[in-house]
Amino acid sequence: MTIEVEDLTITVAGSGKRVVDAISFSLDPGERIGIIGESGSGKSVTTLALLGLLPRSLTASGSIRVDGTQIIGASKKQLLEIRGRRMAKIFQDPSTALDPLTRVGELIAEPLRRHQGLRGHELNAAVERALAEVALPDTERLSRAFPHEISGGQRQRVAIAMALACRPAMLIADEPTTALDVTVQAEILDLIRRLCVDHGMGLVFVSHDIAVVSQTVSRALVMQGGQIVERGPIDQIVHAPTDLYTLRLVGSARALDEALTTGRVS
Amino acid sequence: MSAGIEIRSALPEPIAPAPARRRGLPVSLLIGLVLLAAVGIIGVVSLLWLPYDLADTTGGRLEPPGPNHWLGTDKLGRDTASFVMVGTRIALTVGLSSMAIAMAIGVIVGLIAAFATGWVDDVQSSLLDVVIAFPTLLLAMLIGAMQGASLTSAVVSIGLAASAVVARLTRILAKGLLRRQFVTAARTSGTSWLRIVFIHLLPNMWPTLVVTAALIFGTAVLAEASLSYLGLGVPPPNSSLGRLLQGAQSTVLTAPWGAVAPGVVILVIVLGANSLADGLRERFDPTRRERR
Repeated sequence: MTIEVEDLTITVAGSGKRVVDAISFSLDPGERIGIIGESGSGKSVTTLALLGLLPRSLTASGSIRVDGTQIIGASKKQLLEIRGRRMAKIFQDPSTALDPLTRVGELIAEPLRRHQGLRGHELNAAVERALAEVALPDTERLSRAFPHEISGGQRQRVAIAMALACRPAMLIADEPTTALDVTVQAEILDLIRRLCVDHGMGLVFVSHDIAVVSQTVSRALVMQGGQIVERGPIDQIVHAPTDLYTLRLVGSARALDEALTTGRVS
Repeated sequence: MSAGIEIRSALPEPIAPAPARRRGLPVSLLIGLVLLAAVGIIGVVSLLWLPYDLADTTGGRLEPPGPNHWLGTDKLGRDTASFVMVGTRIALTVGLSSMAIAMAIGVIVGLIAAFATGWVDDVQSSLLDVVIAFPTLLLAMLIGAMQGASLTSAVVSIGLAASAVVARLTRILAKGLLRRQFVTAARTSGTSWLRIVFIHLLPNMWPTLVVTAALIFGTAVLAEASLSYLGLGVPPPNSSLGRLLQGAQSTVLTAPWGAVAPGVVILVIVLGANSLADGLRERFDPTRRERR
């Protein structure tokens, strides 16, 4: 799946404030890119715009083409066709992104039933496969659990299984590890990377953590105040940042790393 | 240690049944069910068999309770027990039908209101507030007076008056749920709004709605009795608990059984509905459910 974003501007209705200001980027099939930036830099809003899911208080202008289909101003039918089937999203906090009163198995069965028309045994088998694919053990028992009965890392795995149930060509991960323990973080990152490689799936990985992004993607954009301030291969961004803001981001990540290895805060 | 083993150790114990279920049903739920089952049986029996015909005036005037007339007779020599049995059935019918109307209209209007934004939302919620600020009974009296007293107009007026409460509750619950991330997650996976209503909104709202329905049932029974007492409820020849109370008013000192019997039935129904609601809340409250 290719994504071409040109001059995307997102404004707040009423005040006219630009939360995203004329950004352009593109994504080739199977490519993994990162969007790095602090809170309020417009990175999450950009991913919502990719899915045509901006809240009514925000309006987008410019152009977003997904496999040639224009998202801005697309019909409901076109958008429903794209969401879930061709592009899926996972969220920061898996404990709020799963319906608390629906059992895990049913959460995963829902998109499979709706998009692929699976029923009965076929459906159960597909749910089991989806749970096994995200390395969840004891799938039979787990599928009968409610979201609050499993751990945070397991919840994010369930959310990933839900997102991948219909084999989308593109996954948008909006800070998928921020709410998790560091050890679990590494496991989830491994999982996302493995699934992308296995299925040739593209990835838009949104994070404020440059260290996490550098483990997952090949190319990144750095956003600040609604604009892209730096872009390029992730190695270049980490090792030779040109923008002042990126320099600061990398600097603080390094300081943290150094403190870990030397035990001293410089 | 491999990742797989770590995950296995983090897996919770096999899902235990809810503690509430293990301890049995809440006491108030049981009390409510027993009380309502008792009046329900009286209501059903009244369809099949009555001690005396309602038009039968062969009993003596104001006879005290005895083997021939379990609950005595009224001024015209009619059997109070027969009237109370039919009145119970009418009260339950009005209660259930009004509840059904209130829930159906209330949930639909509330859901539509929840999706509205801007001035449409403001107008809708102000309208609901006005309807709610109007006392249920007064509204029901108004509709009853306009349409003429009948079983249907009692049911419709009580149902409509109560539907405003349900609509506002539904609107608030749905608005809260729509802000939750799992709804956004469902949207990103291509779920239509209609499906979201059925698979995410309603299941998350129903514990609260069921409790409300039980409360509305009790309120509706009380409202019907009040309307009938004022002569605006179910008209003769049907019996009605409220009208029985009103009829027994003048003889309450000399023949109290005529007032006590319908009064006790009203009390039992309302008490039953309220404790059922309490019990359901304890059993199904989603916040309690998440904590267990």
